[in-house]
Amino acid sequence: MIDKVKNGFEIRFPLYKLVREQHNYLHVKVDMVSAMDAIVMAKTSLGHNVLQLISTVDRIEDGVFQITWILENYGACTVLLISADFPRENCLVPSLSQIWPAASAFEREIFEMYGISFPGNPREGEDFLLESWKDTPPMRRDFETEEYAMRVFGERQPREHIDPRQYVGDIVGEWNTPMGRKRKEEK
Amino acid sequence: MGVNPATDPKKTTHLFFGPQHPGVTGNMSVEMWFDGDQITKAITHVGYLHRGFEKLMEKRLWIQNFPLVCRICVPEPDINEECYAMAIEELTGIEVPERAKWIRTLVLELARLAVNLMAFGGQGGTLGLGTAAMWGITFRDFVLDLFEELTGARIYHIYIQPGGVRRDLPQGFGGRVEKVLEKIEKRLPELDRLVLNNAIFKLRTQNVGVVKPEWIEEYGLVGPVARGSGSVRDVRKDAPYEIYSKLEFDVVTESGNDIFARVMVRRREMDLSISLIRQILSKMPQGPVATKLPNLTEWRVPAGEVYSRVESSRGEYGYYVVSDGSLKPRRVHVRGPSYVHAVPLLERMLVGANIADVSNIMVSLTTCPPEIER
Amino acid sequence: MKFTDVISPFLAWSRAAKKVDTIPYPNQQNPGADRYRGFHINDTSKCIGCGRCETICENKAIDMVKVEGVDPAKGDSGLRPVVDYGRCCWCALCIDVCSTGSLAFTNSYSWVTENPDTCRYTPGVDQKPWDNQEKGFRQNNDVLGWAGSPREQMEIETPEKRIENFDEVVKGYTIDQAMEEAARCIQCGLCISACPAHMHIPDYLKAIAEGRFVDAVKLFYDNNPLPEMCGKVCTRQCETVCAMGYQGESIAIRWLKRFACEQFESLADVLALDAQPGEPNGKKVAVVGAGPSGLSAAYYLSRKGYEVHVYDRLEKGGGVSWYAIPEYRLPADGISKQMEVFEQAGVIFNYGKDVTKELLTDLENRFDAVYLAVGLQKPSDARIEGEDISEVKPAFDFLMNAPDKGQKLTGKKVIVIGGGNVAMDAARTCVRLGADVVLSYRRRIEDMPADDEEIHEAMEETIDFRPKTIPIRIERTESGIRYLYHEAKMVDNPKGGRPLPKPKDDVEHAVDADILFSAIGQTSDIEFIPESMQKGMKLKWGRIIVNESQYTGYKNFFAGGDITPGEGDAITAIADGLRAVQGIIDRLR
Repeated sequence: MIDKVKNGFEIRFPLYKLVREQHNYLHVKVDMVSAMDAIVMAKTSLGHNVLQLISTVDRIEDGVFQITWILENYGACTVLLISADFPRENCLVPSLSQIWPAASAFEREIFEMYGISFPGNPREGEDFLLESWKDTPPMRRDFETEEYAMRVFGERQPREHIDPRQYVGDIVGEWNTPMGRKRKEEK
Repeated sequence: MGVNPATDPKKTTHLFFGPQHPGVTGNMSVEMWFDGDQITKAITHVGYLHRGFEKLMEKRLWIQNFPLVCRICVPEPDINEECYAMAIEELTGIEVPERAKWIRTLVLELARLAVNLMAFGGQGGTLGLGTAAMWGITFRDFVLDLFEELTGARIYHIYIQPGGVRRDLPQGFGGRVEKVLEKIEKRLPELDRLVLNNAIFKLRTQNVGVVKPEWIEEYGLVGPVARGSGSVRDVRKDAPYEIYSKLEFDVVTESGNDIFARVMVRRREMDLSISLIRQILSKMPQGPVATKLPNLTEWRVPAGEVYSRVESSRGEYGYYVVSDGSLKPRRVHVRGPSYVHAVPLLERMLVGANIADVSNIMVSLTTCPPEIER
Repeated sequence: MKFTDVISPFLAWSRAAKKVDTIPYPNQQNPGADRYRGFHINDTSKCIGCGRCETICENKAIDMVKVEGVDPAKGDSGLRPVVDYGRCCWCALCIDVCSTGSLAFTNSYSWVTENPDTCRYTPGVDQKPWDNQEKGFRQNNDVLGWAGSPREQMEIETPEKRIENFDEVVKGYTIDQAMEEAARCIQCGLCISACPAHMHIPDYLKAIAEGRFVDAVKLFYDNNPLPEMCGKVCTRQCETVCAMGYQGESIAIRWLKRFACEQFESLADVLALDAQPGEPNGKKVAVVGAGPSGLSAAYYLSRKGYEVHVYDRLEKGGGVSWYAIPEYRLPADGISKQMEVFEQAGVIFNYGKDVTKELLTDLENRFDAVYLAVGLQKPSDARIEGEDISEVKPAFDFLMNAPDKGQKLTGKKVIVIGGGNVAMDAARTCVRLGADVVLSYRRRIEDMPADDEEIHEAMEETIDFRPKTIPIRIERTESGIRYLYHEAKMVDNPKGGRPLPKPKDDVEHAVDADILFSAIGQTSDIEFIPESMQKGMKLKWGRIIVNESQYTGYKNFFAGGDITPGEGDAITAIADGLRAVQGIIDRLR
């Protein structure tokens, strides 16, 4: 069953990248321009007509958001994951809410959590989880939860705590070597 | 300037249902506009229970996420552990010993039985049948006693781990499971008489909260919600994980499309779980229950992406796990069935519904906010 | 709508007459299940304060703190976990990873207190009602193996093959094996407390686990200039306290050190700028003896800018530990590889100089400070009747004279007396030379001071172990010698300590042989020290007593290694050298 899907990709998107393949599971990666065509093809001609999930991975080191659409074929119980990278700056991803009504909720969440805009989603910007959030979208890798908590809620009284490794080194004089290696300060 | 007739303040009543309301499942709220007692528009609001699980998971070691993922679902935590463990096993290639697979399936079915008991009683509860809710909770407690004995905890078991389970079955556990099953089986007819053979219950649930079969693929509906509308989709059968392929069972399906059909699916699921647990206990092989893991604090899961899925009591449950080869997950995305059930589907189903049926419909969809706002 | 549907709900009333399912709390309270995850207990005498529980706790509910009455010791940090129940989620990860298995849950789950501060307490130290509760969630390392895992196995030559030649017995780790093995380290640092030189063990294990082998070598050289030798023949006290060794096998710290050194053809190139002479400060230090202690002192003094001259009676550096250790344990090419580093660091070697009174007087006059690290030269007397027979020889002398080069003992029968590493080396060398070997030791095998792995490997190599044998005498026979002994039984030592061997009966057992090697230790010979110097030093049992910076009390003389009392192994000698460096720097300041 999954071979047919793979075939479809080989014919239409010869440059696709195979991420993972099993007997009822296929994960492909296409370029951002082909993403919509691939999804429409999967829905209309490959039988993967159910949208299960839209997910985002912040690949900050590559400067991209990887969007993954997970489509299922309920009859054959096969899963098809289609991924595409979109540039992180002013990220715009086509909306699927015209094709699947359920996509709107996923897209609203991603808009809040990553700041990715889905033009074409009529309910974009409507509060979903985070009411009146003003900070960096929280699921981005560059949003530091601890730093945010310190800034917003104030610093927590540190508790007494000793790192055994440093403590043992201090007691036995591990750092009193002739060449004077520096004690590693705690993170 | 046209006024939206659905929300025209002159004609409609505007009401928030929840987040603090005994009739709401968990902490969520539905904003509704009424014309008389007919709902003209509904918007689901979530976020009252948002604890940033997915963000937190990116900051913790792979193993440290097990005490976290189970907290996504209170009544049925094991599916989360199972799904997350399956994803890690897929990425690392860790093998699960045969006996561990059987024990995992046993735990999953016990949990399914417990949650169905609670949901079945709870459905009565929404219609004022408090006794049914009490009985459901009580029967579930018998199963929780078993969990306490097996895992050391009643609710958050933290029992399934990559490569197996954390402990073997205690001596004579199978016998005690059988006793509880007999007890529940003996008492279930009482619950049936109270709920299913109840004129009021039937009037309030039949032809109410209709899920049209064409919505299943349109919205991606799963579990009892889909199976109450004629679907025969069950991950246990369609893409068997653990040892479901070695068990004999038929997928439970009803064709009523309404709340009553979904309740019937849950009721028959209980019988199915009991039968599956008996099969598991009679065929359980001997052997080790866990594969040795590397040093947990230096455990790097090879880079890769995987979507693992299991069948929860509410339907297909998926984990999309991405590893970049480091000590911590890069991304864990939890796809709970409630996401589509409680947001797009509920918003559509409530239009035209009666105000008195809102919580009835919500409970029949078993909407669970923690799955929406992980 | 059926009529029964109207009636049937009312049948629920029948429940009213039946027994209830709930329990009348608080008059009846169900105990937690046997495995219940209730409150923590900790056996503080078993706990070693490794902090594993703190590391694994995802809620930061556990902190390691100092505890009154528990002092840091070798292999025990003296810290104990304090648990904050405001954060604990009872996941029991801390229980399952506890390296000694001291931490556990009880099945108590009910606790009422008016003071919320008591909800943060140190289990086992702060008394709680459930301290003696026997039931509850306990670790089961047989199932999980989270608290201790087996060692990464490396290839070892089979006994049949290895007795045919002097090739190295232990082949060493491959890169993958080494990285896996090093990744088993839990970074508790207890090993540092046991290592006499306090090497940065967790840091270099981490470096190896992450594939940073250059960093690892640089970390070795911070306080041990002989890592490859230590990587092969160290007594590895670190491994005896390894937290992973309680429920699994300790990390193979020694083999990993060897592994990192073996990754490089030249250690001198790897260290490059990190092994250069320091800015000259115009001061000169003489080091007598090119063994581990002398070399360590020489290396770091030279790095600090001192002009260091090393004197040794042998023709090569490395001392007796290198000469006497057979090739199959420590091949010679590794030695020259390490010696290059010393030369690069500017140490000047004077080989073939007999250490005499004249030399010492000369050094006293020409140098600002002298470090005596001459070791032990004289084999101990066996004190057995007949030990002056010419076929009875000290094993140490035999090993020193490169027995692997040319000698043959084919068909001969050899007896070795002793249970230390020298005895093992002599016995195993003889086997390789073709002899039949009987090894006689007074006590039990577990009492032998030799390294466990050495004993194990020796037993595989067809050596006839005769533990619990008390020598009586050695007689000359027509064809060779006869060794007579009593079989021993172990009796308790009235003064405490190890049990003593006592003859079981009067029966004299005899073994005929061609040669007998006695390997019962070496003693010092301090005749080379001029009397005037001896008077300024504190001597005891032929050894020099020094203070904590290895100072002898006589002018600028320092001493270390086996000539001073101590454990008598290489790493202790290296540690002496390190202390002497600091002592000399302070004294010459």
